[in-house]
Amino acid sequence: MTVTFSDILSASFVHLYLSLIGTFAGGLIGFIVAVLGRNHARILTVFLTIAELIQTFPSIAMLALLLLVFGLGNNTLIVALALYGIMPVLQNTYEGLSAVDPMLIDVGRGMGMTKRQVLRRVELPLTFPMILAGFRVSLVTSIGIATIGVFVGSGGLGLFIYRGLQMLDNQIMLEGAVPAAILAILVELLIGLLERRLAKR
Amino acid sequence: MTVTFSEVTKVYQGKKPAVENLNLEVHTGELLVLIGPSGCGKTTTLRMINRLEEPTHGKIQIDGRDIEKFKEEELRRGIGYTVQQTGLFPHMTVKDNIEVVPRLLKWPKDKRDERVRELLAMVNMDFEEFAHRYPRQLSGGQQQRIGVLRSLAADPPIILMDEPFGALDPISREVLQIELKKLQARLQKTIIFVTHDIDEAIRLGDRIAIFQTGQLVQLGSPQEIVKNPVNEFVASFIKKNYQFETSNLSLKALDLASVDFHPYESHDDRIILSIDGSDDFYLVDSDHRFIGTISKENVKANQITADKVLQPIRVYDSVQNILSIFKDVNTLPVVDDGNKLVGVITSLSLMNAVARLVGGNES
Amino acid sequence: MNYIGYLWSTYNSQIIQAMWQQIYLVGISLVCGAIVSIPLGIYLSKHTRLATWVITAVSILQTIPSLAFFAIILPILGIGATPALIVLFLYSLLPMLRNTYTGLRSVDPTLIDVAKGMGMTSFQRLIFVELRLAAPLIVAGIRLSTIYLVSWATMASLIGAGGFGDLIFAGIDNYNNDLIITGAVPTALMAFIASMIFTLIRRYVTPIGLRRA
Ligand SMILES: Nc1ncnc2c1ncn2[C@@H]1O[C@H](COP(=O)(O)OP(=O)(O)O)[C@@H](O)[C@H]1O
Ligand SMILES: [Mg+2]
Repeated sequence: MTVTFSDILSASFVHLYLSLIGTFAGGLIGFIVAVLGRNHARILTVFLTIAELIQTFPSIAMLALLLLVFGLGNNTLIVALALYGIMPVLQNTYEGLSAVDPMLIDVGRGMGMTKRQVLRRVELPLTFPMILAGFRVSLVTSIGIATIGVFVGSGGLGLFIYRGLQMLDNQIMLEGAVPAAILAILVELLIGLLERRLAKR
Repeated sequence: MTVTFSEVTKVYQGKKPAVENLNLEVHTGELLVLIGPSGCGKTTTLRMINRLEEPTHGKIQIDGRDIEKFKEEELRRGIGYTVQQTGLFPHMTVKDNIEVVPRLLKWPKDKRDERVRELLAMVNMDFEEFAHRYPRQLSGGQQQRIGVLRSLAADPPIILMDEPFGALDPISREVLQIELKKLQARLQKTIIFVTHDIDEAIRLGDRIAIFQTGQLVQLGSPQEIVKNPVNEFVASFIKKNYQFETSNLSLKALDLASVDFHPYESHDDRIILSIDGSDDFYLVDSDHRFIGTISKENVKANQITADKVLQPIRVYDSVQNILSIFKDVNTLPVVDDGNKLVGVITSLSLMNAVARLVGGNES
Repeated sequence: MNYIGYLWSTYNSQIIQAMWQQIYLVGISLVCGAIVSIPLGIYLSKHTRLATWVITAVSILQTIPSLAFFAIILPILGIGATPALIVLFLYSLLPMLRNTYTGLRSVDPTLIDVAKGMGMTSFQRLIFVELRLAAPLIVAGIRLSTIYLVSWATMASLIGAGGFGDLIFAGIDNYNNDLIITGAVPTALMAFIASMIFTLIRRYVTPIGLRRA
C-alpha cells in the first residue's frame, strides 16, 4: 500500500482542522472564564486549579477514559483537545487582564465608557498578544495530541503512523510523523512571528 | 587608608570615555562625595576601586599599593559596598545578610553573632526584633540601614556607597544621613559616597568632587564649592538646588552665611541640624523647610519644639538689611523662596566673609 | 469499591509489572535528563549568545508531537526500552533546561553585582545566591518534565518498552473497558502524585524570604 502526496495533504488538513476545533472550544471556555472571573480571584483560582489538574492528565490516559464515554471517532479527540485547551488561554487572558494599567481603565471610565466598553476597547486589545500566545501553546499541544487520536478512532496524520507501526513499515510511519512534526513547528513559528509583529506596534 | 587615582581613564567599548584622566586622592578617614549629573562617571569611578570595573589606563592605589596586586576577591572583602537598590539578598535574614563577608572571611560563629548585635545596636535596631526578619519584612529605610551595616560588617577601612539613599523618601533619607554622619564620626572610615543630590553632598561630605562628562571639574570642601564654583557648570549645578544668584556682585545674605550643616538628630518627620559657630540648633521638616530654632538645653532635654521665634531672612536680602537685624541677635537663619533653610549667618561666618572680601581668599 | 477490588484481583500482577516499568522509564530518563540539562542551563546562563540559539532550537524540538518523535526515532534506534529511554531522556531535557536558564537569568543583576562586590568567588555566587534564588523555577522545570515523561512513557509501550501503555492499548484494541480503566487511572494517578511531590519540593526550596504570605 502506498500513500500519495494528496493523501498526506488531506490528512494534514483533517489534522489541523480537528486541532483547531478542539483548541477553539477550549480556548473559548478559558477566555470566557477569565473575562467573567477577572474580578473574582477566589473563583478564578478554583478554575485555574481544575485546568491545571487537566493539564497534568497524561494524554493517552485521558483519551482512553473519554473513549468510554464518547465512543470511537473524532468526538472523543475533540473533547480531549478542548479540555487541554482551557488552561493556556485562561491563564494568559487572566494574566494579561491583570497586567493592564488601572490608570488606563480609569481614563476609559472617565471618558464615559461603560464597563463593557472599557473591556472591549481598552482591556481586550491590550491583552490580545497574551491571548494569542496562549492560543499558540494550546494549538501546538493539540496537534501533538491529535496524532494519538488515531487510537480512539479519529482521523489525521496519526493514521499513517499507526499503520506504519502495525505493518512495521518505516516509510508509511514517517509519512505521518514528519508532516505532523512540520505542522507543529510551522504553527509555533508562524503564530510566534505574528506575536512579535503585534508586540512591535 | 588612602585611595589614589593616577591618570585613570575608563572607556567602555564603543563609547566616549566614562572617566577621563582622573587624578584624585581620597584621604584616610574622610567622607568624599562624588557628585554630578547622571552618566558623568561617578559609578564607574567607584566600581574601579573594588575592581568591578578595570581602568583602561592609569592606576589606582590603596595606601600606595597598586590594587591589581591584590587578589580580586580579597580586595573586595576588605572594602565595604552599598548600592541604591540595597542589594540585600531576599533569601537571607537580616543577620545572614550582615554576616556575608564575615563568613567569607571565616570568622567563628560567636564573633559573627556579637558583631551583628553590635552593628544593629549602632542604629538602634533591636536584635531580637530584627535579626531574623527577611528584607521584605522591613521598610525601605530599614532595608537601606541594613545595607549600610552589611558594608561595615567586617570592619573594612574603606567603604563605597553608590547613591545609598537615592531611592528613599525624603524623611528616611535625612534620618539615614544623620545616622551615617554619626557612624562616621565614631568609625572614621574612608568613605567614597556617590550622590546626585547637592544637599546631601553638602550635608555629608568632608570634601566634594564634582564630575562632568567623565572629568573631575572641582574638588573642595562644601563651603569652597558653594562659595567659589570654578565655572558656570558647577555654579548652575549648585544653583539648581539653591535657586539664587551667586554670580551677582553685590553681596547677598547667603554670601555671609555658613552652609555647613551637621544633621544632629531626627524626630518623626522633623530634623535637628547644628552648624559651626552657633550654639543653637535648627529645626526643619522633611523637605528642609525651616520651622524654628531650639536651644541646646532643650535639645538635650528632648524638648523638640521651636523655642525661639527667629524671623529668617531671604537669600537675597541685602547686607544693610542683615546687619541692621544682626545687632540684636547672635545668629540669623537664611531661607530660600521655598522657605528651605539654606544657611545660617553667625559671627563666625560674617568674619569669614569679611576675611574673604579683604584677603580675596578663604581662611 | 467493589469494582476496584475486582479490577485489582483480576489484573494485580499486570498493574504491578506495568508500574515498575513505568517508574523505571520515567525515573532513569528524568535523572539522566536532570544531570545533563541543569548544568547545561547553568552554562548557558553565562553564555547568552549561544543560549538564544540553543533555547530556540530546543523549543522547536519540543513542539514535535510525541508519537511522531517515537516514529521518527524507531527506524533509527529500533524498538525496546533503550530507544524509549533515549527519546524520553531527550524530551525531558527541554523543560528543565529552559527553567534553569530562565531561573538563573531572572536573578536580579544587582544581587549578583553586590555578591561580587562583597568578594564572593563565582562559585560561591552560584551556590549561595544564584542557584538558591533560581531553585523554585528549576524544580518547576523538573515537575513539568516529570509530568511529560509519565505521559510519554505510556506511549513508549508502542515501541515495546512496556508500562501502563501496554494495558491501555490492549484495552482499546480488545474493546476491554476494564483494562482501559486499569491502565489509564493509575497513569493519571502517577502524574498527579509526581506533580504534587514536586509542588511540595518547590515550596520547600522557595526561600522563606520569598514565600508568599
Ligand atoms: N557596563 C557598561 N557598559 C557600557 N557603558 C557603560 C557601562 N557602565 C556605564 N557606562 C557608561 O559610562 C558612562 C558613565 O556611567 P556611570 O559611571 O554609571 O555614570 P553615573 O554613575 O555618574 O550616572 C555613561 O555614559 C554610561 O552609559
Ligand atoms: Mg550611577
